[in-house]
Amino acid sequence: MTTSHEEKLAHPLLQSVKDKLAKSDAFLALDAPGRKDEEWRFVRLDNVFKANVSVATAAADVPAAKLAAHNVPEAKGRALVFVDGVFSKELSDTSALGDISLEVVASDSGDAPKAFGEIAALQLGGEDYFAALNAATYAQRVDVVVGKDVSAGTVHLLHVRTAGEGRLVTPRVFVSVGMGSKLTLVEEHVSLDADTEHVTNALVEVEVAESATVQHVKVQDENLASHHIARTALRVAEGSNYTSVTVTFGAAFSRHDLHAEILGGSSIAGLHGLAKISGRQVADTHSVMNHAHPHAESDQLHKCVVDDRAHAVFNGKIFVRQIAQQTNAFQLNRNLLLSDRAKVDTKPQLEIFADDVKCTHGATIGQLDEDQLFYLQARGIPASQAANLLTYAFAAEVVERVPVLSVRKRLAARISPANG
Amino acid sequence: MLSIKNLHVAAENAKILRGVDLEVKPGEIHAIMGLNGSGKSTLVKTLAGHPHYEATAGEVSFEGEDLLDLEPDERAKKGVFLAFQYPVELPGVSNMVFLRHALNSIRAERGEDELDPLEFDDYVRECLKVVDMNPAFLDRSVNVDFSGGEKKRNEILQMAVLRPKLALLDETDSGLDIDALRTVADGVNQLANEDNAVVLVTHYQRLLNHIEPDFVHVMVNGKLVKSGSKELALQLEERGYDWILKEIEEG
Repeated sequence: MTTSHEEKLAHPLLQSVKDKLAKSDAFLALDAPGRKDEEWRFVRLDNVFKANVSVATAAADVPAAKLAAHNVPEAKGRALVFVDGVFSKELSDTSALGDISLEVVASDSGDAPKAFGEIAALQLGGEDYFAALNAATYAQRVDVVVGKDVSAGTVHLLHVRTAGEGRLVTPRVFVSVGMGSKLTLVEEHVSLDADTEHVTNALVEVEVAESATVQHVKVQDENLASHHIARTALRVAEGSNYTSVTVTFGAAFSRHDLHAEILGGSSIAGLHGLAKISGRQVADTHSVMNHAHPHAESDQLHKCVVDDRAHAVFNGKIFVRQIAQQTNAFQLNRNLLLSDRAKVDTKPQLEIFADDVKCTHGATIGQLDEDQLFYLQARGIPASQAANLLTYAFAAEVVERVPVLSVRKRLAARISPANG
Repeated sequence: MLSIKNLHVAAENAKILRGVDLEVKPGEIHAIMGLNGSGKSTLVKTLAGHPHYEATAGEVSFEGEDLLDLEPDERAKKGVFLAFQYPVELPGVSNMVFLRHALNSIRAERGEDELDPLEFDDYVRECLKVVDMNPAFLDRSVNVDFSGGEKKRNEILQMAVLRPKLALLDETDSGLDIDALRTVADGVNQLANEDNAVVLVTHYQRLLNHIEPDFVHVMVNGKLVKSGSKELALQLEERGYDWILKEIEEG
């Protein structure tokens, strides 16, 4: 059965970008994903497609004081702020770029950096609906380009969503870090109110050149009415080191796809994550670690803390191609259920075609340990406080991996027992 | 201080304790000895409020209060302390945070102000001396990658920090070499005084060479069948338990 173009564009989600989409053959060739698709079988997208959102054309006024809580001192002078998806020059601070090229450019401005769009496209073969939607509709993109042998410091990309009209926010980021250079990227998504329903559809591409190091921190703390769909596409070269820590607290529904192409030896790719959700939140993480070169290493620790009737999904694919001998791949997904109605679907997926490799993977789903709870109680700590302390300890293992001190402290406070 | 009358305890429908009577007064040290599976550990775990054990009959009063009616943390706040036979590992919870949380819960109950991290640091460093522990242990996760002896020392450190009225030591000597045994026993001796009491559970006499009990009780099949002075422990060491079993049989 084929769906007509009119039907494909009929979703409320797409109304404000209908004209752009009508011109995109790549997008029109795809059907909307649903539960029948293997990659989407654990979640429902109905509410995403039903969202009444539009595209903002100008950055709404936001007093800078409102963003103080999200300030990252390490990124002073290298901070870009986007309001409902639109770059705000007033709120941004690019006074200390040093040797980084950090530019916001319109999608129709022509020249894009080399490899822009290729990283995601190569991996997906044009098959990903939301990546295609992003490609066809983003209005501005951010290029973060670091040349050779530059210690570039920390860059902060802050996306804020305002109260009022529900928006379709389409971040598009391209990061290229040259040979021997080092960059830390903090990508943060927040809402300024509790109930405006926004939809985010982000696509971030990262190219890590030979012997370069990229540390990528992503914090998704949107309000519980919103939906957040994002893809991070990576290309990791010889001797380089890419490590990301993704922390998910927010959104009614969130989906994060991470895809690392490991193209050189002696490289390390680390994709770590924490999802701490409650109520009726759904947090879905899909990752692909593609070892396409020998002598590389990958490391993944993904943890979920799931309370109330929330639902966490993890699908971690590791491919070790035949050529990729001497690969070390480590993956662990640990899930902590805090209520009887909390739910986790976990699916580690290893496909190994090389014979001389070390690959370990594991998944655990459990509740708070009774013996640990009793031990704490036997020392005078009440049951609820004991549970909070153990939950904190579980989550902190991921937060401790955040390399930016101010962000790490902020996240630690967010999960601290004092904040229940 | 502690008065146990006709206590019966079951776990998963199996009867373990079948009528235990015990009176403990301030300043006393009691040793409970017995074979494996006799119910020694069950007794102290029940007193601490372990959820697996259910008191099916009898009474336990601690300073006039019904102990069995209290949650484990409430018992700890009243001054009951269990040194675990198998101390539990708490990955990600530092010893320092753990001890400070515990002490502040108990101080709040006593109507005392909480100690802030700096005040606590001074206090805990004094406590470390009681068990001759390196301050580096404070920054490590509770009991994670501790040796058997270090775990037991850490239990006594907790006792030193919390200063309980009633300390229940569950096979605190097991797995300790002679040096560690002395350190742990010294720690307990330093903490024992006229106002508090110790009930220690052990298989062997050797701990009792270092911590001198006022009373020794023998547990057989969930009952304290014989009580005596520390001489009784020496007799058990020498003659084993058979003669006691025989005495019982002969009624």
